[in-house]
Amino acid sequence: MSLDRAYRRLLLAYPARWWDERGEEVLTVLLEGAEARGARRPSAGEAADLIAHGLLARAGRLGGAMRADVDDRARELTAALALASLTALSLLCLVFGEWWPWTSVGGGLAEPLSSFSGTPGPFWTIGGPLMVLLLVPAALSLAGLPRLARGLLAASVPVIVATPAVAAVLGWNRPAWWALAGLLLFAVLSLAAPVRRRLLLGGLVAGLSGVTILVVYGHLQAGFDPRPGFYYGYLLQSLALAVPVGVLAAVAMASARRAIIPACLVGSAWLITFAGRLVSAAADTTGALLYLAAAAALGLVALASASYHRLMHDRQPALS
Amino acid sequence: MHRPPVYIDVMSEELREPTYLLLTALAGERQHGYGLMQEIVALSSGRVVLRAGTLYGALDRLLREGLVAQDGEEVVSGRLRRFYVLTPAGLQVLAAQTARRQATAQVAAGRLRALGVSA
Repeated sequence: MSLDRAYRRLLLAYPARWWDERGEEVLTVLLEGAEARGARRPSAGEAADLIAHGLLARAGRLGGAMRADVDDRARELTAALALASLTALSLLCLVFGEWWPWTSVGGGLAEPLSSFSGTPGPFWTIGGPLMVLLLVPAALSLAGLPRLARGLLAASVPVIVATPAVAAVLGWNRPAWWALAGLLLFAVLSLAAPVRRRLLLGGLVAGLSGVTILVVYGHLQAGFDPRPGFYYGYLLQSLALAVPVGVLAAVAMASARRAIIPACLVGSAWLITFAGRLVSAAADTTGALLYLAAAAALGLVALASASYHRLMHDRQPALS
Repeated sequence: MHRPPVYIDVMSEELREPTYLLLTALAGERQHGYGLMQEIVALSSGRVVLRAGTLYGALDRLLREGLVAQDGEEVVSGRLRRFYVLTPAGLQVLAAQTARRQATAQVAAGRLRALGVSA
């Protein structure tokens, strides 16, 4: 087999699109290297290197099917908004749902519903320590350690998934399903790109300001009732009603700032989270279906926008 | 396909040696793939030998990050060569990383001197 053919075979490890962009160029490099060494066939090291990187490129393409359609700026924004949302939801659940001395004033929880009765430390459920952990990635990103933050976020995904099973094993309460689902969605979306400090800071200020307004509003509605009870209901009820309004406002603002894809993706995650909340706490199936329909619509808008974006960018000349 | 460069906090992160050598190799003049491989071997006195898969993995990443850009291509004897150059952002990162390495090296050299060991 000729050297050229042998290298072409090895380059089959790469995806077809990569070959179109890079194949002939890399083949030149391989052939020039082999001729300089006087080699007649690819070395074992070269073969392993090409196969490994080819498979990595394929994994990247498969894993990034959606990512390929969304430009890098959109991914950065998605990651920043999702991490801000993850932090805001964790903080909200932690302070108004999990913190035992605080929520116990009201005399107990309507949620989470669990067959276990143990409580880890000052928290009602195993979600307390989990939510403390989920505050760390934002802190790391703000401290200028985006890689460490991403590593922790990636590790937190299986931790969130395993939380109900761990709670069962330890005999502790678990957090509400909707809260776990929301945390999982935001953690996954946060992995879209390394998070920029400035974007995250903006997202956190907006998210936490919104949460503060809702908390104050909830307390005003309840006549300064000392029972905050995030898991209780009234605060969360006002939050559940405010989420669609907030998402719509965010999408409207984002469309003007060409950030429609991140706003739709993160907005739909919020809607899915609170659809779960409506079912689990209020048995409001109709409301939940409406939220899910809105989330699906936002997902479609994001997909259509990504397709349009790709079409426009494919018309531009390649970097040269 | 053209995409805007990804922001990475490269100014505050330590570059791995192959990436640092790659940026250094491009700081001299524009290079094509095989030229880069040879230049990296020369710069590292033979310690670092990048294979093609690794080299192009790193190049693709640096292109995405906006630190390197393509600078034309030529066909020689039916073979395609593409050339690469450092972008202004790439130059900034290389300068920042070099300053950091120099500062560390100076401290290390001073401590070695104090111990009577020459670096």
